[in-house]
Amino acid sequence: MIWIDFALLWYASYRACRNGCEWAFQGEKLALAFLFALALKSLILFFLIRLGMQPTAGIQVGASISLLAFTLFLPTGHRDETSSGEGTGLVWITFFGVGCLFAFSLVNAWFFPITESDAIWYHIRGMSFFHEVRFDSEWVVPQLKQYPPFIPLLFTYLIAFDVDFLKIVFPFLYLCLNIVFYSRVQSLTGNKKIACLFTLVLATTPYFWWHGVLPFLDLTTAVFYSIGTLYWYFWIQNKIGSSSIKEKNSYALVSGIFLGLAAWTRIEFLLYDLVPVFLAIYVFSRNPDKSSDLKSMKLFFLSLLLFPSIWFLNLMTFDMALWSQIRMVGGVCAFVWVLALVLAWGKWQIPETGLRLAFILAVSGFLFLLVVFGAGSVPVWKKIVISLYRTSTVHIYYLFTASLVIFIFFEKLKDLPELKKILGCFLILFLSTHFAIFAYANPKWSTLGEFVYATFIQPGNSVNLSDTRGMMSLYPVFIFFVSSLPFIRQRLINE
Amino acid sequence: MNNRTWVENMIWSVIALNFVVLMYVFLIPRLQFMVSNWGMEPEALMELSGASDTPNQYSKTYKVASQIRKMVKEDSIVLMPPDNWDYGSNRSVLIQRLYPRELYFYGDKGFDESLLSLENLDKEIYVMFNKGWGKRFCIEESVELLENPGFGICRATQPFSSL
Repeated sequence: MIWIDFALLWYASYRACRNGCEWAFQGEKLALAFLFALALKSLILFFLIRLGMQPTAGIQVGASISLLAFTLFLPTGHRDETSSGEGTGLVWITFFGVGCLFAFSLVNAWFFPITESDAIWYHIRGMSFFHEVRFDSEWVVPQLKQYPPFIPLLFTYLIAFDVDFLKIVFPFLYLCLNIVFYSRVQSLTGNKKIACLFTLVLATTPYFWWHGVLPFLDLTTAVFYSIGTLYWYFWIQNKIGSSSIKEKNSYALVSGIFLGLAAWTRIEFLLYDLVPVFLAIYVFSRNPDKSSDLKSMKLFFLSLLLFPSIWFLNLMTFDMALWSQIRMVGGVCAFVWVLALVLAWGKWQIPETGLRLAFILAVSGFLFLLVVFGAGSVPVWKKIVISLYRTSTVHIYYLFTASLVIFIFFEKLKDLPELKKILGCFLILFLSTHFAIFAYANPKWSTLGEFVYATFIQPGNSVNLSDTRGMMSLYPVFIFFVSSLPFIRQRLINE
Repeated sequence: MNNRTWVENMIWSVIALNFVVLMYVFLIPRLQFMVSNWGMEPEALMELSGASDTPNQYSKTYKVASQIRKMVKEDSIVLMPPDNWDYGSNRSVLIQRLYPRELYFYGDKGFDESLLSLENLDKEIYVMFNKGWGKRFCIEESVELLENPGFGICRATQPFSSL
């Protein structure tokens, strides 16, 4: 029964992709449709539970049929799928390699039950959503109760259809990430060889495969955030370039949805979303002559804010005190709404100098907050040192993939096109945001020595810390950046 | 060796080294675990120590939970000892395995009030006891010892207000 339900939803999403994402490759559309189907399913379940209706299999199938019926009226677009570059054999090696890793992760997801600490709570939340038809079950600890519902809702979906293999979704997310990554690199470089090589780098990165069989939030967040960023890059590229308005709007919408979904999975990713938001505003301010049409900006903000806003509104109905960090992220959500209203609807234009000033003010404001409110059991200076250490050393868990950074030193960075520089800025700002978040939060251990010990002597203690896992969202974008460097292109395809 | 070869070789080396680590740390140990435990039910797998990359720190708690699950009907209530057993935190595991049975942990805020509110309910109430807590709530003839030393389960005597 669940296969029928999901097939209906997948096909509905696929039809929507065929209509709205003409720029996507065929396989990419299928992967996007899969991810959109999961997002739609989570929305359907959320509203059913919010309305007090138990999401039984019958009701869910009915909802899926309704959605499919709606998409049957959508016209379809077509993309001319031609790309240069040899490497048919390499394409098969890539398909085979990624396929085998995916197949083995599927076997793992089927074989291993949920026994991982955080995942047990997500399982409990999934059961309580289905049986108690509420989001604030008394059986769940308060902190996790306030966390966004995406993964528990997926578990609810599987429980409603009596499926026991709750981890089954995660290998598919791993596969979708690889398909979209391959397609985007191919779309950017127009070369299959580059796309294949860098997709193989991503797929074989052990940390990614590992999280493809673990029922945590982090791979899902990484898939949404990094895919959202890749499409954000293409939106910005089209903004500066001269592509059709429909294409710009489509990229902006898809990018916003995925960045919003990242926050729908891990709420702190709304803070990381500030990076593409800031850079998008920066690009608009640098190109005022090309910014008269703000529809894509409106679509970007609306789709990004939809999912986290729904959750914050839902949290306001909870009969409990909200966790201080959730309140803080809620404040950021309200701030982004104000920003969106002022920029996209109020049509205010911020000059480039004003934006730089705002950036300096934001950094100063953060330092002020850190000094005034950040002091706890660990002194602020020590928290800064620990966060700096962690932000720079967690990359050892990404092993050899991190060594691709060497290629950047062979590139003449000054001569890079503006777009590539913006993507480079994205990477630096992501790391800075990561550093800022973990400088503000209380560290797991109070001394740097304990972190050094946990990194090099007992790596098992820190391999799955929140900051290590959060870095997963950076790596696909980092690999994409390296693949786009002119130096790499020259050396790989001898141009 | 020209530049092109160097860059391409470097990328292939990254892929190969990644794959070797993937095999050595994750794929082979997981495959060995699966082969040696093939055919086991998920409930039984929960009670094992797990694969080397994700050791199961709750295996003992899963054993306790499975025994209680077999004894106690789904619409029952179970009173639990404080959440600080010898082998780590276990509340989440007990709720996961025993859901939708209602669990109340001694030491939680409002436990005494909850206990009084359970009186005269038309549900079976059980007590899971350990060395330090719970046996005083038991109907003596109903006591059954669990496989984990020091732990047992029994039907609860009522009214609680008299205890």
